[in-house]
Amino acid sequence: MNTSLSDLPDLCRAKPHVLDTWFDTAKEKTYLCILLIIIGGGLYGAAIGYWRDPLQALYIAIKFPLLLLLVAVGNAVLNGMLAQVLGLNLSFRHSFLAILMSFALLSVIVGALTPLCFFLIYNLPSLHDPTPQLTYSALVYTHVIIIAFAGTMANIRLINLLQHLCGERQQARYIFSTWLAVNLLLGSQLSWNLRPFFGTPYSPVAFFRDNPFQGSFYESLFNMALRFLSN
Amino acid sequence: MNHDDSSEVEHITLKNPSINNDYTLDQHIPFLALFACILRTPTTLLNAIENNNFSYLKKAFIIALVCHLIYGIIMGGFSGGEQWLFSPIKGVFSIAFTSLLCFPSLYIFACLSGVNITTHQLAALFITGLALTGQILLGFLPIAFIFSFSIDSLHFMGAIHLIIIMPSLFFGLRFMMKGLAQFGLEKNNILAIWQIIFIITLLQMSTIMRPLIGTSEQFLTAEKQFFLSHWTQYK
Repeated sequence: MNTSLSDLPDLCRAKPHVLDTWFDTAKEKTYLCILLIIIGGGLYGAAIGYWRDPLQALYIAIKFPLLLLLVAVGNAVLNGMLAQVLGLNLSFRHSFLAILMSFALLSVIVGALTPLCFFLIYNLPSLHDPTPQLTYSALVYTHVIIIAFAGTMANIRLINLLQHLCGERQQARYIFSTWLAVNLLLGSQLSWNLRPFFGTPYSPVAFFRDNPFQGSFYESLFNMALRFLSN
Repeated sequence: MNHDDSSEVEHITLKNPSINNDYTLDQHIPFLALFACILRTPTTLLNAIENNNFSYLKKAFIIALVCHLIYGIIMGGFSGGEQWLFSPIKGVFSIAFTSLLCFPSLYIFACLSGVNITTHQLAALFITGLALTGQILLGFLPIAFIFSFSIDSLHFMGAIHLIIIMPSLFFGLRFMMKGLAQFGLEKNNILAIWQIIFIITLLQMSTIMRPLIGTSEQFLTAEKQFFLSHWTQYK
């Protein structure tokens, strides 16, 4: 297996002509991306859960990379088909690798910010503070900002790669938009099933909530909107 | 750009008549010459880093350490007593821990900005930047000294140190950005975010290490506090 972490800077710089060569050794680079998702996502997951409990940190260290990998695997066929139907001659394996590259980059960015997340947690009042809700909000907002930043960076680089592969800006945007839409669709539901990630200050430490497959993210959103409108 | 070949020794010439004119940038370079080189011919150092010549780095590290220690001593002079000893130690640990926390994100953010650099080269750039920051702090020493022994208000003294430390950091970070530009930096936006993160982390770290200027019965204060709330609590 010819994978090496020395490819990490290439992934971060994301020069389309360099990443294009990754498709020549797709199998090895797929392993590399999976490794990066497990390491980077795992470290960051631990930082998310650590404020609640060290055991929760372990659970989320498993679940965060798992979520990314499940989204990539779950949509692998669909993403491949969408790319082909929109005119990009990319094999299923290659479109899977392109998505994995983007998830791996996200994982690397959040992984690099993990020491700072732990530093933030160290500075926050503990769970037993009289007002944990305030601390909890600060923590959640910080994580949302970090994930949004990493996601944006990863997606910008994915668009650039697609543009290089398509040779046409508009086509690349179509493919990117459809990939993003289906990944969000599956990703939001899977994150609902795999919850808790952030949890709440008083909820018990758990790998899954009770009845993880009951309800859906969108159903919950719809009910919240109904409640809001009825009030 | 990356060079895997063995390091090339940089030949530097200093025009200051008070210093001997000709030096080679290696482990034998005198401290004073390296001090002048960091200030006046940073391009020489950047070229050395680019050519994987890190022989001067040990001395640059010592310069950074000593300069920050000296500034810390003056900082501790405001309260005197044990703070003469504690402030320099805490000051150095603040910058060291902040650097360790922020280095992984610096590397990734640099790569995201298109920089083609190894971790060793980036560490060398970082240490040299800290040496420059330390040297600028040293330049501010007389001002810090005068204020330390003239001001009574802890709050105001803190503000003066902040006014001194921020421009010193600015020069250190500017050196790093210049260096990264030499390694292919395309856009500075992402690294600007990193610089803000670095400064906030440093300010928070100095709050953890408190008291840096004032006095306390304990070496470190156990109570956790955000740096902004810490600054505003003194009236």
